[in-house]
Amino acid sequence: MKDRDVLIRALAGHASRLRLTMLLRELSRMVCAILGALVLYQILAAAITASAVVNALGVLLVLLLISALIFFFVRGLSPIPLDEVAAIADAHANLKDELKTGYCLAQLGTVSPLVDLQIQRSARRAQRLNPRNVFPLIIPRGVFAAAGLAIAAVLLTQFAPQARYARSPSADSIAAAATTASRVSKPRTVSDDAAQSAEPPDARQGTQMSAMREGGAKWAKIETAVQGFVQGDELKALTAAIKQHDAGRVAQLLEEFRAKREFERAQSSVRGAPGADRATPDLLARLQELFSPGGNVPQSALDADAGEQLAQALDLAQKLDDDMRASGRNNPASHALEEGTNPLQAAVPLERFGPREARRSQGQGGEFAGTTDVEGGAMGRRVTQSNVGAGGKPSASETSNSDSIAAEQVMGPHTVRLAAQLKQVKIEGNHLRGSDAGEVADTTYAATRAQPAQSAYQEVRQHAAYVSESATGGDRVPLAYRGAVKDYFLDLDRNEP
Amino acid sequence: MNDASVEVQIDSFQKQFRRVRAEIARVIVGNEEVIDGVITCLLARGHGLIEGVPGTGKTKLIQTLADVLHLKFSRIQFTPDLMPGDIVGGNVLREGERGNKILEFQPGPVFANLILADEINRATPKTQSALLETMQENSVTIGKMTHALEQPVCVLATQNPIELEGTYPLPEAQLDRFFYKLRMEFPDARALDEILNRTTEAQEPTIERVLGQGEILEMRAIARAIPVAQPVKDYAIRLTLATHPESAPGHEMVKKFVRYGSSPRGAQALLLGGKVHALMHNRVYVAGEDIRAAAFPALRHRMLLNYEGEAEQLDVDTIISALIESLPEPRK
Repeated sequence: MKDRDVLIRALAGHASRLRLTMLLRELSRMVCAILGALVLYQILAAAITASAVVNALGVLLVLLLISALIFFFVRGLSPIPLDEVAAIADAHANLKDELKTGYCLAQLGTVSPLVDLQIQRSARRAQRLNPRNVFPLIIPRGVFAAAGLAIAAVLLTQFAPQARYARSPSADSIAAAATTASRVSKPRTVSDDAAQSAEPPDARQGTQMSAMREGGAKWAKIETAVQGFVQGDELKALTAAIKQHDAGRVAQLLEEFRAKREFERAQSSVRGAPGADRATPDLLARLQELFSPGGNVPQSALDADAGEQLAQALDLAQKLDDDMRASGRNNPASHALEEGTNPLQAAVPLERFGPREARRSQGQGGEFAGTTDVEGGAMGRRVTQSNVGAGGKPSASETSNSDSIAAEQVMGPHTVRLAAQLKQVKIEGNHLRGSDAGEVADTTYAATRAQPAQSAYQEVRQHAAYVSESATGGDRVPLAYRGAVKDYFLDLDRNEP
Repeated sequence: MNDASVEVQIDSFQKQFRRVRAEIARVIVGNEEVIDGVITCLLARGHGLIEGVPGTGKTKLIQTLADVLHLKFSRIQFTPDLMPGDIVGGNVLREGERGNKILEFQPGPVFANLILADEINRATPKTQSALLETMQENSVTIGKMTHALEQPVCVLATQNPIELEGTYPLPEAQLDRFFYKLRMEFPDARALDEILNRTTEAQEPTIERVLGQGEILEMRAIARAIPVAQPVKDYAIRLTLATHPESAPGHEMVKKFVRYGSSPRGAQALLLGGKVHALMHNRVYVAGEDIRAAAFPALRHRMLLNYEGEAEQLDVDTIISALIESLPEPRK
C-alpha cells in the first residue's frame, strides 16, 4: 500500500472518531435549543392570556422543534472533510501542520522526493496517533446547560401560575360568569328579589342539578342569561359562540363585555361630576405661561413643599377672579395696575417667584391697559416716564427729559446706582452751545458709556497676526512657541535609543 | 534520488547549518536570531541588512561568517565620497604587450561571494544604487558589457539607526531588495561579560572554515525544494496583503499608521525564509509557524509608516505582531 493510501486511511479513522465527538456536541446543542424553546413557551403561555396566541405559539414551537431536529442531525451526521480532520488533529496533537501538509501534498499528486518523504512521514505520524487521545470524548458544556434548562422546564410546569384562559373554561364557570354579568348589567329590582326569595331553595337546587346533567340544557341556560344584558352585535357574537359550544370564546366575550360596561359606567360618572370645566381660560393660559419651561416662575418656587402653598394661593385667586367676574368688577378697562388693587396680585404671593417676577408684575401689567408710573427699567437703561405698562420699548408718546437724569424724585430706591452712573459730566470740546436738553443728555450718556480705548487696537491685532503667521513659516521661532519647540526636540532626543 | 538519499541530504543540511552557527557563536555572543537570519539570507539566495547601534558586532558577525565559509569576501566601507565606480569597477586604459593601448575591465569589490557593505547609509543614493543590479540579478553592467557574478552572491549591509547626521537613508527600492532586515540587540549583562572575556584576554577565539562554495549551493537547492502546502501558501499571501492599508478588511493599526505595505518580494521572503526555518527545525515542509518566524525580518523594512506612525514613534514589529495575532492560522 502506498504512503498516500496509508495516510488517507489513517485520517479516515480519525474522522470517524471526530464525528462521534462532534455528534455528541451537536446533540447537546440540540437538546439545549429544544429545552430553551420549551421554557420560553411555558413562560409565554403563563404570561399571555389570549388562548389564540398561545395556541399559535404551540404550533410555532412544534415547527421549531422539528426544524431544530433536522438541522442538528444534518450537522451532526454530515461527513467531515479529511483536510479538516488533519487540521484539527494537528491542532489537538500540536503537530505543526504536519498531517495537513501531508494530506494536501497527497492530494496534489506531484512527484518529488521531498514530497514523498513528507507524505511518508505524515502517514507514519497519523498511524502512530491514537484517535482516543487526539479526540477524547468530553462531555460537552451544552449538556450542563441542557440539564439546567430541563430543571427550569419542570419547575415551570409545576409551579408557574396558570394563564387565565390558557385552558378552556368549563361550562359551569361560563354559566356562573354569564349570570354574574347579567346581574351587573341589569339593575336589580324589588320584584326580582321577591321572585328569587319566593323560589324555594330545594327547587333551585333541583333545577341546577338537572341542568348540570344535560349539557345542552346548560348551554341553553347560558344563552338565555346572556340575552338579558347584551344587544346588537354583541348578542350576535355571543350567540354564535354559544351555538358552537366554544366555551373559551364565550368566556372571553363575557369578560370583554364586562370590561366595556365598567368603562362606560366610569365615564358617565366622570361626565356628571360638578365643576369639571370651570377653569378660566385666560387664567389658565397665564399660569401655563408662568409655569412653562423658561417661564418666570423660578424653579425654587416649584419644589415639593412650596407647591402646596402655591396651590392654595392659586385656588384663592381663582375664586376671587370668579367672584369679580360674576359681579362685573373685574372689568379690564377700569383696572388700575397699582400695587394691591389687582386681586390676582393680592392673592398670589408673587414675592415667592423672586424679585424679578415681582417687579414685572408691577411694571409690566401684561394684558391690562391703563396708566402706570414705571420706576425705571433695567440697569443702564434710560429713565423715562411711560403711560403704557408694557415695560419693553418705549413708545412714541414717551418723552425723554433731561431733568429726570438728576431728578431724584423720579428715581425710586432701586435705581440709586443708576443715578450715580448718569451724573452730568462736562466734556471739553463736546459742549454744544444752544443745543437742547435732549441732545445734551444723549451726549452725556454716550460719554459715560463709551470711553476712548486705552490701547491701540490696530497695533495689537497686527502683532497677534504676525506671531501666529510666522510660527510655521518664519525663520525664527516666535517667543511664544519657543518653549514648546524646545520641549519637542528634547523629547525626541530622550526617546532615541 | 530516493527517500533515503533525501533524508541524508536533509541531515547533512542540518548538521552543516549547526556547524556554521556554532563556529559563529564562538565569536559572537548571543543574537542567535541574527546569526540564523544571516545564514538564512545566504541559503535563500537573499541579502541581509543588519541594523544596530555602534559596537554591537554587526561587522564582526559578517567577518566571522566570511571566515567560516570558503568564499571570496570583500568589504566596502561606504563613505559620502564613495562613487559607483569604486564599487562595481570600470574600464581602465592599459598598455598592451605590443605597446598598444587597450581598455581592460577592472572589477570592483562587488565581484565577490560575500560582500560586506559597511555603514551603507553613509554613501550617497547614487552610490547605493550601484548595488541594485548586483543584488537583484547578481551581475554588473558596465558600458555594453554585463559581467555575471560568481555564485553564491550575498550582500550583507550594516547601518546605524541613530546617527542620522551626514547619512542618506536607503531608498525604498534598495530596501526592498534586502531579503531580511535584522536587528542587532544590545547585549545584556551576562552576554557583555562573555564578550569581555573573549575579547580582552590574550588568546582570542579561533574559528575554522566549515563550508565551501559547493556545499552552500547544494544547501540552497535543498532549501528551495521544500514543499509548501497550499493553505500555508495562502497564509503567507494573506499576511502580505494584510500589510497594505487599503486591504479589506484590514487591521486597524495598519490602516492608521502604514503608508505602504509589503511588496511581492515580501511574500517570497516569507516562503523562502520559512523553508530554511523549517529545515533548521528538522521539518521537510513549511508550517504556519515558519511563516510567522520569518514575518518580522521579512516584512519590517517593507512596511513604510505614514506621518502619524512616525510621529508616534511606532515600531513596525508591533504592527506585524498585531497582524499575526489577528490573522487566523492556516486551517484547510
